[in-house]
Amino acid sequence: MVVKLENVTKTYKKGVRALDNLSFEVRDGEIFGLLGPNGSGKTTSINCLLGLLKYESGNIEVFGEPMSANRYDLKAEIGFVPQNVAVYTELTVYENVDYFCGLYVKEKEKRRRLVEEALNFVSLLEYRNVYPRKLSVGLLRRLNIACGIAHKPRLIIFDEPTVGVDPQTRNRVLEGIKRLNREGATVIYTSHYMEEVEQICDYIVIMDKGKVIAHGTNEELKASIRHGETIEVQLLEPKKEYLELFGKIHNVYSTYYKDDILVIKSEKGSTNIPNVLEILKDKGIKYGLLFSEIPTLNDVFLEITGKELRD
Amino acid sequence: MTVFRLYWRIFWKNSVIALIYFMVFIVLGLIQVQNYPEDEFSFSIVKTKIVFVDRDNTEITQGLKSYLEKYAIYKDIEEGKIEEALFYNEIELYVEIPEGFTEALKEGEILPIGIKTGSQAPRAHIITRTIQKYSHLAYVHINNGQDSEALVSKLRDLLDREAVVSEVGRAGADLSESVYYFNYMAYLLLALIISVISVIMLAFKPLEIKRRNLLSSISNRKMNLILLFCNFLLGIGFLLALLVLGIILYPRQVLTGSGFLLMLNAFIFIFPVMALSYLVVTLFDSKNVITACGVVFSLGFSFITGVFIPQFLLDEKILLIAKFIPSYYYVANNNKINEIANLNFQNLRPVLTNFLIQLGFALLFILITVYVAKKRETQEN
Ligand SMILES: Nc1ncnc2c1ncn2[C@@H]1O[C@H](COP(=O)(O)OP(=O)(O)OP(=O)(O)O)[C@@H](O)[C@H]1O
Ligand SMILES: [Mg+2]
Repeated sequence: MVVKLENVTKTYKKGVRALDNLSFEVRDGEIFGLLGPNGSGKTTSINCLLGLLKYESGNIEVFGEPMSANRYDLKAEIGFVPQNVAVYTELTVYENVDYFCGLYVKEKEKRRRLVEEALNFVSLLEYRNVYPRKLSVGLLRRLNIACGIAHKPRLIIFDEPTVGVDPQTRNRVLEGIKRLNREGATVIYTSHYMEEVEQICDYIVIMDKGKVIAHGTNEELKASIRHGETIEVQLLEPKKEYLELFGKIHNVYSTYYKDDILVIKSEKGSTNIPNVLEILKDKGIKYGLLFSEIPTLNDVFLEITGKELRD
Repeated sequence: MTVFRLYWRIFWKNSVIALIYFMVFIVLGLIQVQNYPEDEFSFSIVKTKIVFVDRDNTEITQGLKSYLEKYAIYKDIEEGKIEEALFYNEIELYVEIPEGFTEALKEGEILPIGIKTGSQAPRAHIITRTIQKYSHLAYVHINNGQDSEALVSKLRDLLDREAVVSEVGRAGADLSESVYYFNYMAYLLLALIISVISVIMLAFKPLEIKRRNLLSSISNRKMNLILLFCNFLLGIGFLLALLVLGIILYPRQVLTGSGFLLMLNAFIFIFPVMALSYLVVTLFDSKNVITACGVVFSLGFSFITGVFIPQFLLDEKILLIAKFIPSYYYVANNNKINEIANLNFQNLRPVLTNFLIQLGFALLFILITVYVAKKRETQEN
């Protein structure tokens, strides 16, 4: 077990209960996803497990040993990419990575190599002499990542590393994380984007209001809910009576309109697309587009909490 | 070592501000030097413009006045305009002999002679000392049964004989020019330390950066100690640079016992200023605000505590406010050190008191800083 949180409760001084009896475990070698909406307590739990924040009860272990603020031996094996970019504006890209790497690696030659590697990893080599002020958000995030990983830690924690990043950079970051994982690092990845978590994480914990509401692999989570399929039909003349009409199909448990789009949700089992098409044809209902979607983590979240992951 | 290197790297990138301040200072310093005669020899050629008010008007006091003609040119200025005249250098010295001065001498007492000097009065010093000597000699010889005329000519003789010897035997040098330089240093130290040190400290302030550093093998305590040490080095560095410049400009004044006291005073002044810079960076998060603080504090403090305008010319009310500011005691101390003719414990007492007051301010600022920082930290948790 690389990380173990046991019944951790954290209340901020202002009285906000950010973590409520939170428990989860991260196994060696996996990419562990912490998924939850804004304000669900992801950053708080990361800060607690890094010994950066005090909490009133519970236990936290890292690499099998109790974690606390003065366990510098444990901290030295952890790489952290914080949610808010933490770099020195007075230092260039290279100097920043060199500084953070230098906190762990004293040997000059080795450090130089590691810094080069980290810059290469995030494709920032050509920006080595640029100051952070001059970098775009995406480049800055990449610098932030390079600062966190340069010393080749065993455990790397990414706290929403892709916020405000264009899709291309995002994919690169995700690919990079997978590569780090292949090279042997255990990864904790927090995000409120379910697609990212689905894409890279081996094991996922879904959080809401400081609690774990579900956990498992991507497949396990999706299998755990009754929802099986979402069919969306764009109608040219939406009518209220259609809701009932399609609601009668076998396995359908919910129908509603999203603007002019009719949403039909069915439980697990075989697909309802043929049934829907048949009714459309029978009744001569005019429609534009028709999609079918298999369950997402959003459906998991929706089914458990009754609200969307993202509003 | 990593943090140490980082500190100096960040300093280096902010060093332009320091450089500009230094340049301005050096230029001002050079102008200053050119306006002053360079050694004591030239003092005696140029006579000092003084106002001499003799409320006693006896042969003894008139004797003093005529003896002083060696060094002085007498001016007539309305009583209400004396301070103004001093400030604009129309006169360099104002002397007022109190009524009953001669009578008191006979009774065995020296009444204090009112003396006011202008802001730039290097030459006035010779006169004030001559006046002191004259009254001491008169005090010693007055009851010898001579008539006043004989006494006055005897005093002249004695003074002439002593004049040469005493220049050599004096412990406290005439510091007037260097005191002006040291007073001015208060402005520069405030400006430099607040704008440079606070701006460097600002780089270490963001919570994310702090947390990021906490994650490494460096504890918060160690980090703060390294920063404190570096800040101290930098503060001392600034001070040394200014002192070296002072020594180059006024070697004969600074490399003396009194000059050493001036340097010690400047060293002590570093502490409240550094503490203030910590307070500033704890209170404010923006580089612009901090740089502005550097300008406002250094200029503002310097104006009201007598760096630019001598303290005796300042309004009572302003001085009352000035007493809540450490540079007041720094400047007052420089002036006091200049006045001391003999460096003995008795004379140094007020100087030591001012040292302690300055250190007290440092402590006060540190306490406020710690309080504010603690408060902030609680909010973050
Ligand atoms: N310093 C603080 N003081 C008081 N409350 C805080 C503080 N930091 C966070 N909170 C509150 O604690 C809760 C959890 O916040 P946290 O930042 O851990 O959420 P998150 O899941 O990381 O959200 P996001 O996706 O926005 O980063 C929120 O309700 C937040 O308002
Ligand atoms: Mg967060």
